[in-house]
Amino acid sequence: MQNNPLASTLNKSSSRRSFLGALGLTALAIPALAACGNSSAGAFSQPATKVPAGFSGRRNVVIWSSWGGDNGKMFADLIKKFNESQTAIYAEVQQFDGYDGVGEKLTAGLRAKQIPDLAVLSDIHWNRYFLSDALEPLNKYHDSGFGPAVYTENFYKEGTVREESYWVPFARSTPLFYYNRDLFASVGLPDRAPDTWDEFRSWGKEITGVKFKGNTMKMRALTGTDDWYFSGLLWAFGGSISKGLDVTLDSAESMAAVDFERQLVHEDKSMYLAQSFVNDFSNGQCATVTQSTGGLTSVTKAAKFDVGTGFMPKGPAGAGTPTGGGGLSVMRQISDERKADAVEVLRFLASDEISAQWTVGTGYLPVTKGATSSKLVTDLMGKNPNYRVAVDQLQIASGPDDVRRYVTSAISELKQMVQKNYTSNVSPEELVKPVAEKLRAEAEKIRSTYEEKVA
Amino acid sequence: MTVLETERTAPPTGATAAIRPTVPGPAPESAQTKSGNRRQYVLFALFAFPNLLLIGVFAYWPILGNFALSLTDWDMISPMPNFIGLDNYTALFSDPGFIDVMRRTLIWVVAVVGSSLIFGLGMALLFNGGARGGKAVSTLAFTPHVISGAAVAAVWLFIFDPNYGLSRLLFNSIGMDSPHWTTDPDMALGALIIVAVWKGAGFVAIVYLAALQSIPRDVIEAAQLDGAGRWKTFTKIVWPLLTPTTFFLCVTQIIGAFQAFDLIAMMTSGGPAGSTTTLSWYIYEQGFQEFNIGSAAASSVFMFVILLLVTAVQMRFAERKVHYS
Repeated sequence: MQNNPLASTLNKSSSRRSFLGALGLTALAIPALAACGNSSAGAFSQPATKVPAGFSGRRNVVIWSSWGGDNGKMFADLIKKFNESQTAIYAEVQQFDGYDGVGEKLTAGLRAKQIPDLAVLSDIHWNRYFLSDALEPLNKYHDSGFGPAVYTENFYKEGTVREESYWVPFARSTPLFYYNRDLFASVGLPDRAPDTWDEFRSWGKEITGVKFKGNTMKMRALTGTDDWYFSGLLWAFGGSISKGLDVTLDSAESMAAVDFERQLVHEDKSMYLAQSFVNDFSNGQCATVTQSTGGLTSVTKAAKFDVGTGFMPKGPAGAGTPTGGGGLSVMRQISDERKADAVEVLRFLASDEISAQWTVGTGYLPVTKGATSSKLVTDLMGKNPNYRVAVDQLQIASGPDDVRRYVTSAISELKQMVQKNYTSNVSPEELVKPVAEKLRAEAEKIRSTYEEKVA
Repeated sequence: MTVLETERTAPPTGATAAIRPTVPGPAPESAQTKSGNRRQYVLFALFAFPNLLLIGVFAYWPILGNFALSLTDWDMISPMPNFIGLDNYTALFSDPGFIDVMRRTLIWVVAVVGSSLIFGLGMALLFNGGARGGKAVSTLAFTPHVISGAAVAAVWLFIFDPNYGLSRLLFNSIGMDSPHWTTDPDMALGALIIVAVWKGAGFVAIVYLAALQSIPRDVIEAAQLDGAGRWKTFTKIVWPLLTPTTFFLCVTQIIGAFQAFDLIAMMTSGGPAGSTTTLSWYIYEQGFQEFNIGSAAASSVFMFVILLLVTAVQMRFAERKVHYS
């Protein structure tokens, strides 16, 4: 053994201490190496594409999309039309599991230096990528067919920071109050959504326990992914998640909103956390549900009864309606040629005809001025007044609070808090205070960047 | 080795041989031997290098990288991580939420592994008895193991749905309302355990069945001739001979239970209110929902250490207690 050259070499050169030292140095070098990802513009590659024979030889645009199901098919159809309208560009849609799925993949892609040209990002996610300089400023691409002249003003502004556009609206929505018209009629309630949350509560007491078509009714099925609707409820009660980066989740007004929901679930027993809240509503298991306007087409199609919609009820402080949904951003770390091609896709999707087709096909709100007044959309509103409600409600809707936008852990923390409120009858203080404290600590971590780039 | 080589290169003769020491000691190697050894090591390196490279890149490099990330505060979107030393570990062990996660993980692992072994062994004994249709039933029992977790979750979500699932039908037939399996924090972990055991017990049964069938018949027949009944035969003959199998299953099932992810992701996403958040889901949640990469990495290191300890303890136990026939 003593003459084993391999062993003796190892013995000589690799004492335990030097081995551990090398190990530590290697380990510490890894994040630094991994972190090099975001620094050099233009160096990031494009994910692989499968280009059909008829489109080969063109430049490719890769779009990472969050939509599946009917909305996914609709989006793929629009991109197919784009490809048919082009001679030099072929766009490919690559689908992921919702906004979170795109977010996870994009974050990993930024580290691996392989990113799409366009990404569908939620109204929350895009802000985080903006803070990290991952999104291309778009003002320089604006012309008469693409830019503030085209888009609905409040939607367009939501995607800008200090007058520069980074995220263009596409699949925008607000929460809508859906109700079972047949059930409301059978109970003797008016054919409309409740005006206020107090009215909602009193109607809930009338409906809860009523037998209707074989089911014992409750007023509303809740979802565990409820941070979006919940933020609107906070506003309606005069509270909020934050003012700027200052957390106000534990203000008296915010806690009153939390307590209101607690009472409805645990005292009135008129609301419950559902396994699938939309399915429960569509199958007539509950009387009402709060769901995105983007679900209007699919809910109407699936429901076995007449669906009514209305504005979200008002609270003591008035209306509380958050905008939501998704938009598109061009990635900053790709070549100028890829950016220009990606903007061509945005320009196509912003055309009045395409934007209107998307609205009619999905129920998402029209995001261009032309689409809003187009015959396709006005005809739809005439035929189905529910679409009119969604468009009208936009006038009173607002964008998310900044902590929800910029603090990466906020959505997860808020979802857990809301779920706990729906399932455990604990006091608002006990529930909200720890979450507020955690969000405060997280907000402090990004405050300097936020103040430099946003505030 | 040294003696043999010395003898081969310089055969002792006469008086020299009489005084030559025969104990091992350093001796010069011939150029031919050195060259042969070098060739052997080059050959060894050539064969081993691709495997070592793959293991290094895909196993050890990520482990080292993960450890390094556990010393940072990073959201993976910002350009650079901040080095914060052991703060993630301190935060983890002083967070009551993480203690809850570990308590829940322990319940999950003990319940899933324990139940899978009990049900699996029960099924194996049943199939081994030669009952009619045993082969068909054993195939059916094994089927859930080969179905993807996503498909299993979809089926069980339908079964558990309290409004229009099979659960409603069953409970309504006895005049009760179905429990809210996946949306009640008191029920959700239990529901996941049921599904995990349903999915995993078939595999345990097949492995135990193979072990039972390899036990020599003459040993059992001899015990029966000596008057041992069924219970005594099982406890004194069969069970001891099954210990290597039980050991193997314990190790693999515990590691599998710790790493369980698909069922949780599809059925509850760790909810409601964190009631099904086990360590593996917590790591995902920290890493890819909260983008708190440092905390996720520290939790992963903790999980790595636990699994290393579990395996080491079991190996130690195996050396003493496992009976290999």
